[in-house]
Amino acid sequence: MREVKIALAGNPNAGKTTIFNALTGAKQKVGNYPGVTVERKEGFFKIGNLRVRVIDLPGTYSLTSYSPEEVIARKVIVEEKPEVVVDIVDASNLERNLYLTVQLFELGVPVILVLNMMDDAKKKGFEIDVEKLSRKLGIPVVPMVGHKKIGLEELFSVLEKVLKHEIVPFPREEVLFYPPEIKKSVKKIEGYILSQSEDLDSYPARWLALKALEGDEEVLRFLKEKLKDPEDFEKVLRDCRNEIRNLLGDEPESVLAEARYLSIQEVLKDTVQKSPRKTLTDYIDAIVCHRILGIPIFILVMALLFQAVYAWSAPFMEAIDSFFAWLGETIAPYLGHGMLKSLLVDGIIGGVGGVLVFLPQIVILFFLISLLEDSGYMPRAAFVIDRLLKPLGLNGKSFVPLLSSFACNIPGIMATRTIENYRQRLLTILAAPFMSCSARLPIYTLLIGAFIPERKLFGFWNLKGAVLLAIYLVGILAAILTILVFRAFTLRGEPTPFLMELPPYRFPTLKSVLIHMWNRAVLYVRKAGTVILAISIVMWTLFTFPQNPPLSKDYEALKAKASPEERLQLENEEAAERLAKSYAGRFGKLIEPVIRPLGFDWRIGIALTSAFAAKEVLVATLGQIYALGEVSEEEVSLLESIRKDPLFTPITAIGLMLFSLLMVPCMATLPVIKMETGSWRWPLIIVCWTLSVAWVVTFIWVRLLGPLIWG
Amino acid sequence: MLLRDCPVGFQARIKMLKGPSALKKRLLALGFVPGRTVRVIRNAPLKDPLEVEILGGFVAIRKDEAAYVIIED
Repeated sequence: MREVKIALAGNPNAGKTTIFNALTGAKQKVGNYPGVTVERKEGFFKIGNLRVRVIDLPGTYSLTSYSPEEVIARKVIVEEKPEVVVDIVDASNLERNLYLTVQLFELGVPVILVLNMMDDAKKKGFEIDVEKLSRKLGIPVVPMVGHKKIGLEELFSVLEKVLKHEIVPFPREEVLFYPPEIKKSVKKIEGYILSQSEDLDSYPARWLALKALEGDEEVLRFLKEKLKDPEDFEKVLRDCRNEIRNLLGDEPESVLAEARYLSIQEVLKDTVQKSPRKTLTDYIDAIVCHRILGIPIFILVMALLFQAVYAWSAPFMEAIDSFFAWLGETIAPYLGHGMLKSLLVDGIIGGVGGVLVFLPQIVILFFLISLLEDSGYMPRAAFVIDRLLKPLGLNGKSFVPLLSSFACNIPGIMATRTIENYRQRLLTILAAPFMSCSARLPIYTLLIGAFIPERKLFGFWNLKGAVLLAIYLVGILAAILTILVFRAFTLRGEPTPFLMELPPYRFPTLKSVLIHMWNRAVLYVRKAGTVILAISIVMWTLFTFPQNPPLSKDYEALKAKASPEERLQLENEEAAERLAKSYAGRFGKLIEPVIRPLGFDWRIGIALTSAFAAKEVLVATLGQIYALGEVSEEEVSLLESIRKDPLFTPITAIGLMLFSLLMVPCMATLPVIKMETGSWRWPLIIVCWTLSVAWVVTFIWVRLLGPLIWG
Repeated sequence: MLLRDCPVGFQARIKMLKGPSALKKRLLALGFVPGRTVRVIRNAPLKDPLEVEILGGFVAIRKDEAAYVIIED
């Protein structure tokens, strides 16, 4: 079967994904374009004896080099040469949407125009003469209502005719309406490029000329490589740009944009009639973005979202946890007592469970995020809260990822995909690990329970609660500090502009919400899951080896003689000693000099090492070290034991809370950061940075502030 | 006059754009084209950004960016 390629282009919010889903069903592949974190989505369908590969290009307003998305979109169109570009436009917002269409025309590629959301256009009072539009543009035009699959048949049949070369969908040149001065300059530059270069990697020379005239940085860089004398070219280009400035009184990019919009107006003049009406969107926005109601509504929606990720996922996470515990227990008896059993039960089953346990939160968060995105509320939320994030150099879109990180850093970091700007996305990812996730809570519960006295502050405020709140606030402050530091030193550059379309409200369709959710889950398991599994096996190895360290007592002999109670005590002591002598234990001892100034000893070193696996493990490890066997944070025995330990004072206890809050995110988070930033560089930087912040903050508390306040 | 300083409900034609080239292209792509009419719909609850109507659609724009859009008096 022959395979052909087509591409879907369109503005964000034009309903591209809905049509992509309708065309391809569930047969989709989601990944990243190499080197950048722009998502690459592909799907397949069949027409007659053709297998059609559909590339869903990132949603863009334009084909300049403003964002990585725009660069990728035009790269795919030119370099991968799809047979046809299906341009999906929002029929209720034609003027803006056709701006991209016109730029596809400039590229000179075959285009099919899909007028999506014809129902909204009608509601808004637009009357579109589809046939006339098609005649004027010279390409097939298919009216559709994507989420109702209206027009899908026609799209398939037009695609079939195009792919079988029965129709040649090349746009009419005359549509583009440039001033003669521009035409002249383009011709001149085009001629220059053609005469001064041998191979343009299938980029059309005229388009390169147009983009060069517009001052497109990406194209200028490209031409610099391809042309024989780049300096001479720069001179020619400068002359052309100056000439346009002088003759037309504005920058070439403005002149060109005006010309494009003029072309669009010319096309729409006698094809679209409008009698504008107020739509539902106007009424909803009057409430949702209201001066007074806007913020309470925002808080309510965010509270619901947080509650859902935090609380609704809990039963599923417990179920996954107990399933893997059960699985381990069930197969353990068949495996004897050797290494194999330990590797399978503790290493592999534990590791797989450790990967899957995050799925409920990811799935629930992305279910809600897709609902908010598809309905149109998400941009409004960003609009309402933007002002608060502006001083940090972020915009409103960072809020949801950061809020979600309080439940779990993993879905929070994955949620940064909704932020278009790479620098802002990075800053948000850097801040996320400082949001105190729910796995850190057991640590606080244990230590606050053991060391913070039952007292009232100002007569009404429970001191335990106040300490807990303070810990969360320190996390937020550390996040703010991180953003400010990284912005000042490495992630400098112009502040990200906040310019965002507020699309009309729409009813989300269950299908696209579910597909989005599913794609995220698959991405996490495939991309991050394998690495998480590998790290958990490494962690297991560190805690299990060496196998038979020399022990201080002959436990076997002692156990044989002991009473059942003493026996239990001996077993716990043996486990504690084995733990201390494992590689991880030795590592804990090795780092003792580093954490000594913080008032910690090697036992806390081991506990912190184990907390890298998952933060809540710290509690269990402390239990093991104090030779108590398996414990949970509520158990009295551990509370009592650490309270009796002279090492622990309220000050060191709070120090330990601070350190475990701020230190490296858990091992499952790092591969997710790698997945979202595109390289291991950022997880590494985050490890170093978080450890330094944790150390410094804890040091300041234990040595300075603690004694001062608590003294 | 700058778009930044327009009160809610104000409607006027865009005279020209200023600012860095990348931002200008972004503004142009969203429809902020000289000669077009822009209308201020509302301020966000915290006063910034603005919501404006342009090309028959709605766009949120921060006051910082709205300072680059010069409108006819």
